[in-house]
Amino acid sequence: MHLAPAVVKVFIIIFNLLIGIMIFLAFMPLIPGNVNVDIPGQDSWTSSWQGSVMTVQAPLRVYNGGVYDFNQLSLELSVQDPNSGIVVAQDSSQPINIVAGRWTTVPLAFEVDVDLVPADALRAILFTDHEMTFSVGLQVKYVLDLISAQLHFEMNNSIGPLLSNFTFDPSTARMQTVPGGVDLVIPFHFSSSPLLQGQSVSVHGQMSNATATLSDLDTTVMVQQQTNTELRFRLSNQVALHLASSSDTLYFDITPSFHAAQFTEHYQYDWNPPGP
Amino acid sequence: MKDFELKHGNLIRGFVSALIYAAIFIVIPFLALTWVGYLTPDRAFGQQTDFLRALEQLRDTSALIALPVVALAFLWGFYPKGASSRLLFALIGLGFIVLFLTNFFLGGPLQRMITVSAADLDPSQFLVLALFGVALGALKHARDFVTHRRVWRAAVGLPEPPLPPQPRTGGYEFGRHAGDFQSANRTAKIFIMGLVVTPAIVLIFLVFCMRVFDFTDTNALALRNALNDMTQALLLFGVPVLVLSWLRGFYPRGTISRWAFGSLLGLLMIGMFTALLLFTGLQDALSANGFDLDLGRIWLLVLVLMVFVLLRGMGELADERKAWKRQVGIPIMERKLDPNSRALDFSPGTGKLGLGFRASYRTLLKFMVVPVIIIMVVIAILHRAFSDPVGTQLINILQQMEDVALWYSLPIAAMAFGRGFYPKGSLGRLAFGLLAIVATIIYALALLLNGSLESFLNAQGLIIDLDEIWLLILVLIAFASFLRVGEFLDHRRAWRISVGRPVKPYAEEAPHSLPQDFRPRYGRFETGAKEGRKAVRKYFVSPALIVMIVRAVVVSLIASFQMSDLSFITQYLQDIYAIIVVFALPIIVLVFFRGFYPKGSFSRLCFGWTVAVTIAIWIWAVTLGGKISSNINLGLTSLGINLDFLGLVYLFMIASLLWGLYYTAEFFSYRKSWIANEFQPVDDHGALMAKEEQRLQEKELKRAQKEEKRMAAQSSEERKKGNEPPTFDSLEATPPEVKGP
Repeated sequence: MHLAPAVVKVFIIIFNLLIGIMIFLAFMPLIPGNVNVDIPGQDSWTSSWQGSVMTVQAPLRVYNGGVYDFNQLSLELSVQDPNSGIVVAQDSSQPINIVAGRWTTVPLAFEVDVDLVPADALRAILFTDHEMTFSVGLQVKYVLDLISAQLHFEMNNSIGPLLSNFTFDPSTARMQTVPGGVDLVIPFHFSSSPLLQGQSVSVHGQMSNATATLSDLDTTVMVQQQTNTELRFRLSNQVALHLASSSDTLYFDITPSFHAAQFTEHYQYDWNPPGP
Repeated sequence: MKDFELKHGNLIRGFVSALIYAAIFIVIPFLALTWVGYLTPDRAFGQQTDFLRALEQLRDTSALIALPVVALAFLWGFYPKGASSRLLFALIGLGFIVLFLTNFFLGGPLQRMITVSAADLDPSQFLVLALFGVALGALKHARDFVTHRRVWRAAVGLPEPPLPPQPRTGGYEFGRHAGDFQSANRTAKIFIMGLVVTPAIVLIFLVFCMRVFDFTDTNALALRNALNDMTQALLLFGVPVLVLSWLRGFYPRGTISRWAFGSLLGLLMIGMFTALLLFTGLQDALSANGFDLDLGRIWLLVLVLMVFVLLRGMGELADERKAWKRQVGIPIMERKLDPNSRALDFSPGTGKLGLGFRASYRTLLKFMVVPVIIIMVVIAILHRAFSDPVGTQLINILQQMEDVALWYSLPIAAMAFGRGFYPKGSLGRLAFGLLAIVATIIYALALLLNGSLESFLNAQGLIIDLDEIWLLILVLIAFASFLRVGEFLDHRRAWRISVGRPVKPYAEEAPHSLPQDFRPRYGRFETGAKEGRKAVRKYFVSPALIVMIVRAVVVSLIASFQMSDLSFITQYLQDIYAIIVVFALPIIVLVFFRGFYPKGSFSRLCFGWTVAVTIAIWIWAVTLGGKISSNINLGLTSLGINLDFLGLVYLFMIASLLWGLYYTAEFFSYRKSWIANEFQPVDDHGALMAKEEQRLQEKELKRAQKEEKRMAAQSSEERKKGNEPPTFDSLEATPPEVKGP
């Protein structure tokens, strides 16, 4: 073969080999699963509040065991109420390069303005559970930006209740004399998701019997992981004397509320006057 | 004693030889063994274990024994080619190399190292392998001596040796003057490497792997012993194979001696395969390990091949006898062909038996022996692995395919004989070639087993349309008919000339313009069809087969797991398949024309660029423009994918377009030689050989002139001062004989 075509042929072969090697290096190291994603656990999520806006964030750690960097990786998250179609949370991360051979932390964050969440949906999320649509979008470039991929993952999942295990037991009620009158003190417990810890939940209570309303209360409770507090119903002298001396059937309506959402539990208790 | 006179020697060459041999036999072994010593873990603790002591002893004794080798290498290099002293020192040196190798492999130190490390190796086999290399080296030295002896004698002023006897039939054909050392050495090397050394290394490696992977139960040990016995048998047969193959290669085609030694070699190979397959305990060892492989049947297949080897030898003798006699000047009776005979295309007088048997041998190897052995091995493996009804059913199917391969290959071999027998350009060769293709198509169709293979695969959950796949294979087989026709068209003119039929002379118009390059007369159908067949395989059959198989797997998965949402994949595959089919014909046609026109022609350049651009577009189309998007609903979840790999596709397209540059470079590079060759294709190999021949002839001419001057000067000096022999250096540098390509 003559020199000139031989040189060109060798060049073409080298060019093809380089492409082959590039593809080999791009995909072969990834096939055994050399990309690890450390998905943050429940404890890793932190939240902060500003008015009605809750910001939730967690670090997502990614290990790239390949040869090439994953460039311009960005994540889009959104949570939508499937009934109303309202997007309650949406955010996208800043593009970040996942460098080969290292762990890289990708900060995940999204904001929820609870005032935008329909009251029914918020009530369901807080106190029972509610099916929401979660969307995760991922954009990334690979192999010297020759390949770009967009993945969009969507699924419906139930979330909540964020406030649960409400315990209100009138059988443990005790009457306590306080300056200015007598209180009926009943222990009140509930559990909370870490997202709501540090927030205030308003509690409205009403005590009545078959004929009249005996007492009302409005109080604010600071939410903890396990909140243990007492609800104090202020009793008038007449009601206090009645309860101290006679039996009655009492009805309690306990209504915790958080922003626009509220939830009422009804309790009935056969009251017997305390012994001497 | 002129052979040993120091004044003919060359010190520099002696030292260079000594340095090379010192590096091979002292420096490299010393460094390698020292390195092994440092790799031994105990070295780190400074403990002189038995292993290290043996290693150092082996290193030191090897270096000591290698010293005479280096000294003899100096002497060998010192004396000129053709001197018997050079040959003598070379052979003594080889003797010391044998001593070196024997000490290395069989000496106490290596045995102690093996014992200490419990390596369970048999170094004697490596020694025998190395000794084959030594034997080939000795033959090379003998060839050099014989080849250069005449020039050396002339240079030192010795009288010309007596002329070799006049060539004749009979005893002369077995004499040393009838043969060629170079061809003998080449043949011996091919046979020893292909038939003995490579299989022996493979067997040794297999045994080594069995040791490494700790196959130590009784049955595995039996297999290891059988493989060891096979290695030893191979090495044992290697000695007569070396001798007979050397003798076969030594004598030229058409001599009784070549046929006799070739036949003996064939019989020896039959004996070797018989010993390997039937008398080494391999059958019992395989059975003990659960592999019911009928080695007797394999032996029969090999025997059939060997029979064809013997027949080919006989055919070669019959074909080349007259040519040899004509070449050496023995009078022969020329048989005249009637150029006007209508049956000349099918006349046995134009054919060659040897080439016919060779074609049959290759066909049997390709369509019968290899497929049957592969199927037998697969059946043996399946038999061991599966005993359920599905396994039994698969084995039955494979047995039917084995029968097909066994019997349906016979018509192909018969047709191949006819094709090989008749010369290129004859209708006989074309007819048998086309019939062989028909027989091959029938063979391929028979392998479908009337749909039972497809039914079996469908029953196992793999929904695949074998008829569709077979159609592609049949296209590839049928395309070979273009090759046959192309070969016929290209060689018809030469054939007509060879049988004495008149041909029209080519008339070239002058001046020649670029568009005239597109004339069909400049093209070669055979090369075009060859390129076209490659294109069929590369751009149609292979990708279409891959798409079909992937589609069958996806369809089967969808059916098995009720994943109807994955049907978009089958749609993509369907699109790709359609693109492959649409592009197939244009690409094949363009590639045909690119191959049809010769290097240096403008037409080839144009088609080269057209093909490059078309294939670039094909790459873009087959990869669906480098973009794939889809949405998959998986119950409660959905997954959307948008993949953009256009950048990668561009790289492949650039790689394709670069071939356009190649054809441009080829055009400018070959243009002049193509025109100088009267617009006939410039055969790379032929052109190179002609150039080399010209170079050697010029060199020989210069050497002869130089020698003539030197002889004239010597004669005049001798007249004045007495008989002073000439220096040798100027004579030794050039080879004494110039051989044609």
